[in-house]
Amino acid sequence: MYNPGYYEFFCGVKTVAGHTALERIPALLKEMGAEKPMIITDKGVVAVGLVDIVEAALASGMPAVAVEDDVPVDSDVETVHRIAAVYLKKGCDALIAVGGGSVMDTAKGVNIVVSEEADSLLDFSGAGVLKRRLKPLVAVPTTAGTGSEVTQAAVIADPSVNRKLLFVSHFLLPNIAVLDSRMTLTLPPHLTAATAMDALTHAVEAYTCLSKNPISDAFAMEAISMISRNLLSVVQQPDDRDGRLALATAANLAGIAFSNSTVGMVHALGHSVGAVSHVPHGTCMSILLPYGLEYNMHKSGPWTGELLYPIAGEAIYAATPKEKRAEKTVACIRAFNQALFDATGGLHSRFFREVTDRDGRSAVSREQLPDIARTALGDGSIFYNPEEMDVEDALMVMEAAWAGDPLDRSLVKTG
Amino acid sequence: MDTGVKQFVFPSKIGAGSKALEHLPFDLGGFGAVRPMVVCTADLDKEGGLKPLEDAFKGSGLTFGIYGMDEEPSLEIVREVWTHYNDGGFDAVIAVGGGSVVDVAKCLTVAAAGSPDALRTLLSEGGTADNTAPFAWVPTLELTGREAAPEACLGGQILHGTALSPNLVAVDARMLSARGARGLAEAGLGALASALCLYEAGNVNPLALPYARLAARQVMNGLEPLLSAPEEKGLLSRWFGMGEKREEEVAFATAMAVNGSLRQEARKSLTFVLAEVLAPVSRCSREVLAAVLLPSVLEYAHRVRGEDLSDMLSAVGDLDLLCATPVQQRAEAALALVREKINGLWLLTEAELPRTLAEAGIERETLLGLCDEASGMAEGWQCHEVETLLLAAYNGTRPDPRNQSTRSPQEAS
Repeated sequence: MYNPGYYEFFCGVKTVAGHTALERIPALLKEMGAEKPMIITDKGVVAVGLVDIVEAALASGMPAVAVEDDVPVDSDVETVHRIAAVYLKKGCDALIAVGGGSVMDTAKGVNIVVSEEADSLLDFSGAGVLKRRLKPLVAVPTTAGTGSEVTQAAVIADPSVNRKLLFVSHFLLPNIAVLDSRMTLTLPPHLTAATAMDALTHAVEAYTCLSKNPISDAFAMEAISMISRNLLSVVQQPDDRDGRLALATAANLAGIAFSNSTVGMVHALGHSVGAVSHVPHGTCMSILLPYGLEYNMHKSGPWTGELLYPIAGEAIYAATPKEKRAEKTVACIRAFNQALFDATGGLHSRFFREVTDRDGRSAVSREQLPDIARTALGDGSIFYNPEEMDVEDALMVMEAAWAGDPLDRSLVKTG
Repeated sequence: MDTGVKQFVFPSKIGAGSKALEHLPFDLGGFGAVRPMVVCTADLDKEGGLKPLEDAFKGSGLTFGIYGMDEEPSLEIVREVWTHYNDGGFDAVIAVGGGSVVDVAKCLTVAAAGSPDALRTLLSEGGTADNTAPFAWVPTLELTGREAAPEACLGGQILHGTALSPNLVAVDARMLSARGARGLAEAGLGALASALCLYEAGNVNPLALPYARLAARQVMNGLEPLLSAPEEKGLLSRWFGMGEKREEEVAFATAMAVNGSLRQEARKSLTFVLAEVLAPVSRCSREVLAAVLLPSVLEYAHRVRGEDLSDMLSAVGDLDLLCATPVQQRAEAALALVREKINGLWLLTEAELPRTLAEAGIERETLLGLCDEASGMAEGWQCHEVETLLLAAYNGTRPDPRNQSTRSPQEAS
């Protein structure tokens, strides 16, 4: 067991998981003294009927007083203040965030404003500014990937100065995360694959980065095992409710793992591809994960090798010599991507060259790769990557991930 | 009705390892605290055991006061500490140590957020403690394993509430010197029981599983090295941090903290329900009894009720053993490891800890007399099942469902 010199671990979110977990929300809110919850969501979530399911679950116990569904793709200060004004006007006393990262961030921002009776959200940006508990916040994730329901940060844009503000405090953690299989049941197979690979990457990078710790390791291992056992079958049978719940639970565990360690170069490069080429985050993670493990293998190979068991099972683990397990892990993740590619009729991408935009055009051109490599080096996720990566190496990784070739590890500059 | 919905929370932030104490002032400041009160044993204070904590707070802007306990915990003691707390303008509580020190500190956090009368009402009328003062726990090796649990015990009465779990846990090697083999072994056994009893119903709560595996693995691998030859490293090497045991101590104490999160879930298990019933007629604690009962309950669940316990081997064995053991043999292999561990601790504690209910000081007739009560409290278990596995735990044999009841049907009903 790896033991760092000092580490911290915290996840104060009560997690509730089940096929009818949403129905528990009224009782849980009552325990916290709330009576008038507001739902915060976005129009996409409303359009696929998920808010109807949440409202129906609340109806008999504690109907929502207001539903605010105008959260933009990137959360911003104006939206936060507008929704906070509605919250106060309608006399709400709790928040239920239904959606992905932007909805969660917006709800956290609204919670700061209404709890602190703040005139300006900006007064609370930064780390550790909040000093007391906020209003009850329930997070209902609608994808099984981001783990944003268990993170203590919020990123909210301030368009007036064209910058993104970071808010960090353990008081920002939702009180309750509700994982209900109905929330992801209609997610198309290729999005299911991409979001679950995002969760898998959270867990794998949490386990192989330099700030790992024994508790985050336990969460990462469990998440990896659950995703490996369930993802392909859910993609093949999207109405597999038990599998859906397992993936949602795994994403939650992976979220706890990485928010208590960190991630690494896969996320750094992935954020950069997203910024430069607008490729969805989950797709970037699927493609880059094997490359990140290959790149770091001379440093974190033993840890990567330990992941062979949860990823491939006992037979492959036992049949692979110890010194070959890391390479086998990478091979198994590539094989997993290939299986997902086949199962989604080619919609799950294996390398960047085959990723297309909505109009069917190539989303990542080779000319963009240097820009992606440069941008990645400014990403905070790279800080705890096992190997220090310079721009040449980042470009080398991107070239390989673009073409779909394995990385030539002999070219990695080892520090 | 069981809808299959699982829930779990562990509200404590853990900081573990080198200089963990130095992080405490900053973390307490995050709760708005500037003047915490330390609750510890009077002996620890007298012997200079708080020196590392004093060093850690120097220059932090936070100053703490100390209350050294030298009496058995009671409501009167809590009232006395609360008076000091109130008069001294304290705004947070730090418990240093384990067991009753932490119980008193937890009760103090309830009184501090309300009043001693609020605490007395909770103790006498029940209810959930949901409002507490900021609370940090600094473990020593004088622990029971239930310090981080959402509960507190005072005068035989138990308070419940998530708010009773510490906000902060600082596991620092400098505080992990005092040791008692029996106490540590007891804490380890209790942790093993509360981690593995989650498997008894087959359908393990996946949200609790990472904590359970971590705690069980640490007891299986990390406890015996702590109990055997604690001074084998020279004093100098320990001073200079060269003794690996320091890492093991931190890992063990951290696992004990993590284990506290499982106690609420464990309380619902048959293992702990039976331990609760038997504790008043035994010379052992509920936690130790739970460990003694654990193999019998799990074996019965597996062999008679057909629960799949194969996954339990991943919590108590290493990866190589897991891979080498066919799935059909894993439950048996895991149970054998658990029994071996309990027997090994009996040896290490020079026969102080029991391996069977008989060794726990329970009379056979008393045990049989408690079967009805026990099965009445064990939801979903028949009287004859409870009797079978209690007898197995009493004798140290494997539960055999073909055994006839030792009592007539009328008596058993």
